[in-house]
This record gives sequence, structure tokens and C-alpha cells, in this order.
Amino acid sequence: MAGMALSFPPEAEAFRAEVRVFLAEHLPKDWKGLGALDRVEAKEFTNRWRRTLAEHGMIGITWPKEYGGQGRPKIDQVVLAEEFAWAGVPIYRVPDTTSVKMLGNTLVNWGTEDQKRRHLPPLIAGDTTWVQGYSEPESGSDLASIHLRAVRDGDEWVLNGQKIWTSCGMEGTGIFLLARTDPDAPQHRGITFFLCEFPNPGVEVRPIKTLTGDDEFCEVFFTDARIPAQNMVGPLNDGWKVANSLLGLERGEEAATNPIFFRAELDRIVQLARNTGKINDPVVRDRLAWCHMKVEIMRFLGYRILTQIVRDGKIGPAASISKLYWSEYHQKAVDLAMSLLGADGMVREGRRPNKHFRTDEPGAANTSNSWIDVFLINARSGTVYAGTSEIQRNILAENILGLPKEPRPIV
Amino acid sequence: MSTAALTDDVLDMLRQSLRHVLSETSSVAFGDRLAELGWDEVVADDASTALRTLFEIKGEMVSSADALTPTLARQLARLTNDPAMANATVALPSPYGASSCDGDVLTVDAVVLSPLAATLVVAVGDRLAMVSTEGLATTPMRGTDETLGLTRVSGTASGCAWIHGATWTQLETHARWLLACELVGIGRHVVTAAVEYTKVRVQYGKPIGVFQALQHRLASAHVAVVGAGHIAAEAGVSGDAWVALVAKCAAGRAAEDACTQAQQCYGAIGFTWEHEFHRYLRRTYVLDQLLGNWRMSEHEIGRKLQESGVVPRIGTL
Repeated sequence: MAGMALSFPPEAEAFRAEVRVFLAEHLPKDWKGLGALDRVEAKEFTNRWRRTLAEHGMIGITWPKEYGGQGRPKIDQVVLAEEFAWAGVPIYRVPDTTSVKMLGNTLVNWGTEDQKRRHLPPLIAGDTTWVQGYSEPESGSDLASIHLRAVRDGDEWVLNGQKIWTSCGMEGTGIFLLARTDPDAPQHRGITFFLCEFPNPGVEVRPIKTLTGDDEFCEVFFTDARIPAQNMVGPLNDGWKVANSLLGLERGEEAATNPIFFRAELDRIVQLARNTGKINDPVVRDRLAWCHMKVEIMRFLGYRILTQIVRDGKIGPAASISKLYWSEYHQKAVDLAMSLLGADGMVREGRRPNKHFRTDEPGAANTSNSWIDVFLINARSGTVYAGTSEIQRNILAENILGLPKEPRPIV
Repeated sequence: MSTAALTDDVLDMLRQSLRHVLSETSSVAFGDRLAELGWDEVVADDASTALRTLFEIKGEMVSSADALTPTLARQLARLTNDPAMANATVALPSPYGASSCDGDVLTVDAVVLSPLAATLVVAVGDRLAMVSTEGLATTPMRGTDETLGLTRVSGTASGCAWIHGATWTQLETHARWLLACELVGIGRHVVTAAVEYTKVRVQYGKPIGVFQALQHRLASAHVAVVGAGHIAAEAGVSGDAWVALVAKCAAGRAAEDACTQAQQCYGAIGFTWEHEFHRYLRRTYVLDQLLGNWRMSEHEIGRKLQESGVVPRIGTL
């Protein structure tokens, strides 16, 4: 496949070699992947592993050195994520997705000097955990309609309203949020990005039980919650732009790691087909072949996005192709796993997954508990979170195909 | 189609009573509660309408009452002309192995939905054997749907006797039809509830139900459920094994599809414990597995069509 191989810049390949040496030195001997550990072991390992990463400059590598980063080019983070994915080891803890990846990178782009000095080093060290406050009960897909109000009062902002679907909310040491600062401006232009540290007497965090019975996400209530004026990130009333630059960053590493995770998962599905003796069933083979094609195409979609990052430093609306593609694929792949399990899927056996998005971790045993949770929440929620399939299709239709916009009321 | 002996008025009253009985948490076994309702007389009048109604409502309410075991036992009593059979526990085949008989010693591997009565009826091939439940081991099958009380029964018991006048195929046909009705009830409720939600959930200043992306999802699910409902009704009227197989297959597929489409319409709320949706999703998965999931059934249907070279006509239309 010489024609389609993605070539990283030589500097990135040199960094890849460094990452491999690091992994060889620091991963436990006979490492089988995080999925081989039970929930408690996995959590302990991840906490230890994260400290090791921070100590060795493996977190926030693209951030400037003066804030504790390594000043590396953005593509190096992709290389790191890719190598870690091959090794079956996480690049940080689950809540670091919002802390390090989302808030950290946003602050690097938009933060004041003071904000960067104050927040980036503890993010790298893992001393702070920031959760995301975007969705509201009445604002899901229509995020720009948010109601949570921020009103200036002297040196402070006063927040009133509610956020919902905040992942890992109970673990947060703070929340970054979008608030309405100008109710009279057009929706997208009256929103500002803020940081609110916990504890705050005006903030209450309540867990929401997911359908798997876990406290995965939370709702956060703000009642006259006061935050210092310097906690505003980016310009006043420009929070929509700040937030959108952050959503774009979500997709970069995924482009590199999705094909790895989904391929590893497909290996497990093939194994499941062998274990259950259904591998010779023509319908099963047909479905496996379909999955194989999808996962391989996913790699090329990933290459395409990575090429864009290397070339332009950003991802365009093609990110919607990728999101739509993997999330819709994943539901069908996991449906296949569940139908291979058949009646075994009625009975819980083995360890449950540690995280409730994407695939179970590499090394996970092919027991029913792994698949039941992935079926009930990981796969099925994929077409909802981070922009539903309907929203992705709208973006594709309007921004790539150039179709007329769906009629919407003027607000 | 036979003319339903149950008038619309009677049927409405029946629905109300069934909703009441299915919603109460009673220590009295569900079969006994049905008996108190005068259920057996209703079934004698018009079995196919009465039972279809019961199982559809059970599905709509995602009730955990075990209606299947007493209904199968009553069917067995009718087939064998032995009223005592109505109190037996009729087991479904175990996904892990088959029951077998050697002389009067029965090795049991089966699945039940209720606590064991004194007598257990299991399939051995196409024959039915009964045995005392004393000494048999029970293992709860906890998992995807914790509320169903699914239990594996295993062990060896002597003193088993063959049942004459009824075959496993007859009971399986009956059970497939009833499960199909329950899955149709689930699918119907799931679509209806999602339709109601999309009417009240507002985004972009409009109820999300105005968006064609969601309209089309729910319309497709509705078509699947309505279609499955027709075949399920026919399966009850005809009592035919082939129709029951097709009906269970169509209903399992339709209910699964309804869940998938509805969950997408719910967005994040559909992934919470407090929202009722997940109970329907779990129930669908488990009911679909019982007596062959829809994918396996499609296989089976295809194989039989190929073998016989004849495509049977379903119904008398």
C-alpha cells in the first residue's frame, strides 16, 4: 500500500522512537493491556502510570516549556497517542480528556499569561481535574441556546443556571463552562467561556446514574455562584469560538487511535466467533467481513485527517465523516459481538469495562460483562455524545456538500 | 381469521384489569392472580385475542410478572386433558445444554422464569417429561435484565414420567407466539413513548419531532412493529409452528429496531437509569434470546425454505 502510507515528518518519527524507548523502559513486564486488569487494579495502575508520565514529560508535550510542557509540535501528541494505543496503555486518566486535552489546549490557545501559569502546571501534574459544563437540560444539540447566566458584579461574575451530562463531575476540582453574557445578542455572540473552581458555595454537583448503574455523569447547579473576573477565558461574548476551537482538538488523536482500538476490538470479536463455534456460519462471516472493511477504511479516514493536521495544522468538517463513521460502525460491531454471545449475554460474567465510551480496553477478556456494558452504553451512546449522528449529517450536508440549510427559526 | 368472541367493551375492561394486575407487586403467583380474574373463562371464549392482549400489555408495561410459565402450563393441561398440569412449572430449553432421559432418571438442564412448583416439565427432544423438582439445583441467571427472575435448573432426578398427548413443538409454538406478542408490545410502547418525547423536547426553537431525521427513524420503527404485530396475531389464530417462528423472528427484530431508533431520539436522557427506556432495551435483548434470537431464526427460516423448496403462505388473505 505504498501509495497511501502516511508519512510523518522525520522529527515526529524521531520522537516516536523516543516514545517506544520510554514504553519499553516503563511498562510492566508482560504488559497485556489495561483491559487485563480489574477495575480497582486498573485505577491504581492508571494513577501510578499518570505520575510516571508527568515526571517524564509525557503529558502536555505540545505546551510551551514555560508552563511545564515540552514545546513539541502538535503532531507529536498524535504520535504519542498512537504508540500508547498500540501498547494498550492509556495516555492519562479518563477525566484528563476534559482536563488536559480540552481545557489545557484551550488555555494554551486562549488563556492569559496568568491563567496559563496558574492552571497548566497542575494540569500536567494531575493535581487538578476539570470537567466540562456545556450541555444544559434545554440545550443539547442546540448548544448555542444555553441559558446559564453570567452577570458581572464588580470584580466578579455571578453564575445562575444548570449544566448537565458533565462526565466525571464528582471527580472535578473545577468546571469550565459556557455562560450567556449578552442575552440581547444573536445566540452565538452572547456566550463567554469561564472557569469555576470547586468548592464554591453557590455550586452543587449531583450524580446521574447511567443505565449501567454507574455514576458516570453529573448535573451541576449554580445559584449565585461567584467567580473572580480573571476566570474569563478568551474575549467577552466570544466563548462560542473558544469552545469550537476546543471541539476541533477532540478529533486529532482519535484519527490516529480509533483504527487501533477498533481493530483490536474486532480481533476480540473474531476470537469470540471462534470461541462460540460460530466462525463458520456464513452470516457471521459476512458480518465480520463487513466489520473488517469498515475498520480498514477507518484507518484511511484517519490518515486523511492526520494529513490535514500535518499540512494545515487543523481539521476541517471532514472530522464529521470520521465521527459519523466510527460511531455508526461501532454499534453494528457490538451488535455482532452480542449476537455471538447469544444467551451468554443474558448472564454477567467477568470484569466490567473501566470506561464507558468507545471500545473496552486492549487486553480485556472476552467475557459477557465486557460486552454487555459496551453494548448498553459505550456503543449506543457513541452516536449521541460529542454531536449526534443527525448533527454530523447536517454538518456534512451543509458544509461539505453545500446543500441548503435546514429551515430553522430565527432567534 | 376466526371472529373474536370478545367484544370491544369486554376487551377494554380486560385491558384495564390486566394493567392493574401486571402493575401490582403481589406475593401471589401471577397464575393465581389471573385465576382470580376469571382468566380461564376469558381464554375459553377467545384464547388468541385474550392471550395476545395479555402479552402485548405485559410488553408495553415491561412487567416482570411471569405470565409465560402459567400460560404454558394451562396450554399443556388443555393438550393433555390433565388439569393437574396447569400447576406444573414448564421449563424452556437451556442455552447451555439439553435435558436427557435414561430409564426413569432425568438429567435436567433447563431455564425457568418462576420459582419452581412441585412438578417440572422439560423437553427431551420433542417429547415432554415431568419430574419432581425436589433435589434439583437452581442458579439465578443475573445479567442484562435483572428483573426477569431467569433461573437455570439443573441436576438429576429419578422417577421421571413421559407426558402423552403433547409435544415440545406444540409448547414451543405457543411460547414463541406469546413472546412475539410481548416483543410487539415492547416495540409499540417504545415507539409511542419516543414519539411523545419528540413532541415535547424542544431544540432550535421547535419540537425535535419536526425534523425529518427523527421522523424517518420513528416511522421506520413503527412500520416494523405494526408488521410484526400482524404476523404475531396470525400466529395466535393459526397455532402453526412455522408462523410462530416467523412471528417471533419479526417481533424480535422490530423491537430491537424500535429501541435503536428511539434511543437516538432520546439523546443523553436515554442513557440514564432514571429514564424507563433502558428497561425496554434490556427486556428486548433477553426476550429475543429465548427460543432462538431473530438472527438465528432468520437462519432457520432460510434453511427450511431451502430444504422444502416451498414458500408457505401465511394467513388466508
